[in-house]
Amino acid sequence: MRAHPLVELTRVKFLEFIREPEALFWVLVFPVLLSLALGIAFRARTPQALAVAVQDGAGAQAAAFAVALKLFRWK
Amino acid sequence: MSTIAIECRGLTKRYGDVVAVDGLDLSVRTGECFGLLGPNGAGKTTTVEILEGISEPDSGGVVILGESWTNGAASLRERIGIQLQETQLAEKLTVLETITLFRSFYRRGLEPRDVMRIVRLEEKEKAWVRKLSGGQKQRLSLAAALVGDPEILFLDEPTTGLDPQARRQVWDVIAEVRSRGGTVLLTTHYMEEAERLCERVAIVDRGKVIALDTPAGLIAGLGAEHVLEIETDPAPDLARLQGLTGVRHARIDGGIVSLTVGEVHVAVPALLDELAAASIGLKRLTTHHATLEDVFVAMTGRHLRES
Repeated sequence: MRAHPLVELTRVKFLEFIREPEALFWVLVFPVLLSLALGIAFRARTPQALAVAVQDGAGAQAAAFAVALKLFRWK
Repeated sequence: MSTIAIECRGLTKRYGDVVAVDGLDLSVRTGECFGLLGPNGAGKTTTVEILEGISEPDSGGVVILGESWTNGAASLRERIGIQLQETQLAEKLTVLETITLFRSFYRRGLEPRDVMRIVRLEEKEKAWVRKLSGGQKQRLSLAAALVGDPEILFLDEPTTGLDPQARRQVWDVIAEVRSRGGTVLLTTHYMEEAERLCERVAIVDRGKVIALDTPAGLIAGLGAEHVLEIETDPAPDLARLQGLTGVRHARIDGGIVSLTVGEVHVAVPALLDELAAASIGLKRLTTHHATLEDVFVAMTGRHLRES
């Protein structure tokens, strides 16, 4: 009984892949290590405070109030 | 059977200024083992590639099993098996996996294990291709060509670079294929190989067939069955040697004189007398049965292994 060539080719490519320790390292182990390393390096950083200004003019008062209200809600 | 398996007429192929194949005609009968013999660069591989449908001729026609590559390519590929001059198979697959893969490409064919038995790689079933020796790799690529149970098997220099024992094993496999009734077209630059395996041999030189016959017929065409080679000091007079009893032809190449002779026991005494009379010292004398190599040299003035 013969398998479909596509099935057979897929099987063969998979076998070749898992028999290649280097390929396994770079595809499976390395990305995990990399994300762990980067995660540790850049963890627990508080966001910097943002200075927000409202340009004076018509409706500036209302805008300033709205911004203040928004910032207040975020806290 | 006398049906024609492979036929080509007026095949021409050019690569730039180089004419690789120059108006080549061939016809191979069904069930026959046909050899293309010639030095490197004679156009053997180009010819075979055109017959296999891998490259297209500049002009000329090819008919394989009654079909042509222009309209019957897909069905034709199912009916032929090809072993290229060099095959690079996946290094980390086992022998059985490789054969099974190739088996999947054909609608009908042989069982992978049966093919493994034909090429005598049963013990290597689970061995990675990387671990195989040169001869074993060659037999595996032969298995890949055989697994579709082809009607015609194309072999391009199947034993080049193999040691004598590995070569013999490949010959055994080819003999087994032949016994199953398959047609075989092989190219080679080894004389013994063509003499041993092929029913008919075409000698190819510079893109043309310069001789076509059975190996025995080609050798008989020399008009003599033995070749005497001598090395002397000083060099003898070629014209005088030519006139000796039993000598058909004399030529000198790199200080070695080759004489084509009918009967060694007649020619040798005459030769020794002649050399003694002319006080020429004999440094070496060898004699062998005429081979296809001698045929090639007689026809082209060059040795097969020179390109």
